Amino acid sequence: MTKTSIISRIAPVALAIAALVPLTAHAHMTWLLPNKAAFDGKEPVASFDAAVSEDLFNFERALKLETVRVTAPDGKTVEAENRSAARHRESFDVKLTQDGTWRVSNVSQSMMGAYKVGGETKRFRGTRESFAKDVPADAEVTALTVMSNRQQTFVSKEEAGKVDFKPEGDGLELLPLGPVTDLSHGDKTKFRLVLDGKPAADVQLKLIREGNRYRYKFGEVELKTDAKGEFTVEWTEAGRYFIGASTGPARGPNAPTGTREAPVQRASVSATFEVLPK
Amino acid sequence: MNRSASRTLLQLGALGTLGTLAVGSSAWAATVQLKLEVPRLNVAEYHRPYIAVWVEKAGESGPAVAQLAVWYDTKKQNNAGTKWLKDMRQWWRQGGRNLTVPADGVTAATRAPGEHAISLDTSAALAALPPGKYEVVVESSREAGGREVQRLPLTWPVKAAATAKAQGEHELGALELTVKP
Repeated sequence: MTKTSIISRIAPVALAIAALVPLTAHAHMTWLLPNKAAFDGKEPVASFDAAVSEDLFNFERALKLETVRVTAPDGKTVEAENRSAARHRESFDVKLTQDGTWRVSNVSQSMMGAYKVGGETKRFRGTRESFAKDVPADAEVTALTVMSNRQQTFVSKEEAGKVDFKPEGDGLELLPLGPVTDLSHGDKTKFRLVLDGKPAADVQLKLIREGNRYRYKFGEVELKTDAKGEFTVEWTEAGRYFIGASTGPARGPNAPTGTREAPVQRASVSATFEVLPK
Repeated sequence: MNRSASRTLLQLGALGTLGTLAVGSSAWAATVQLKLEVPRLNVAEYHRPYIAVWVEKAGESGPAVAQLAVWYDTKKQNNAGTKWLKDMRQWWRQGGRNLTVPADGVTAATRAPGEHAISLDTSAALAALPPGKYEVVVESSREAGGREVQRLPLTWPVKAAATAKAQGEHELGALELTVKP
């Protein structure tokens, strides 16, 4: 018996397993991060960075900001200021004019798929608008996925106050059911995950504390929403945290491909939080 | 001893307990002293720490039910020293932010390294506490330095002499809470 024969027998199995295991632990994370979560003073300005990375929270690739929504404590939306795009990150500022908790989101939607024109298969990646423009109306669409992405974070001025945000309504989003901007280690926070404004039950989430670059263990915590779409996070250590979740049909060779009339719907959300030592 | 006699005795006993309770709950009847050591630190840049002492209900993380002491930089003009009060983070979030400073009998200037004694015999905030189990919380925060929080148990009103000790690790030294009815 030689080594090669064993490997040649194992290799196809290993490949098959690799294809089944989702690579969540090494997936890139997209995030929106404030310079801190709790602000004081007359009119403090919170700064936000948006990036994509494997190491939390080192900028690796700029996250292209699309629709930035800022919800003030009174529920009204305000504009972000000083939007800028740099090589490794995009940024903006928000002037905190009211006491209480503010919600900040970046929302984007993308479409991808394939279509046939004259027997030739072409790939497509873009937005709803560019799809309508670039893909001929009579082309046979062989695959189509609509992806809704959201990055969220929360900041507050003075006391966090009552935290009671209404869903923005599109895609996946996290609704904190208590203060999330003045956290100490040992605190627990309850959240509700909603998809298109409705509770998302039985959805897996991952919780990761920053600094994975500087430790051996990735330290990912798996969470799951209950029947009401709710879950509780225990902040065991001080630091900044990332929570991520996604919904849609399971990926893999048997995943649905979607059609023009019924595209595959996928949604993802990420949120960042800051926890200080008690 | 017949039954009625023992009942009378029991009633007397109950009265006696009530009597002590009534006396114990007034501040001047009990001695409450907190010994607090500000450690001497060998650092390049030293500023006296801001220190807050307050009371929380035992087993609950806040809010403050009594403010006992707040030492901060009272010498700065225009009350500018209040800017760093929020660096005592636990105190700030557990009610410190709502305290109007300077507060009579509570706020004072920062202290030099060494042992300090705070007499709380006349603390109106302590006297007003309903009976129960509490924790005296001590937090120290130093500019260009660290922060530390320590807790000492306190049963109120004081019925028996007791001493609670805690040893700070970096920003606080030895802490000792002595109570006598």
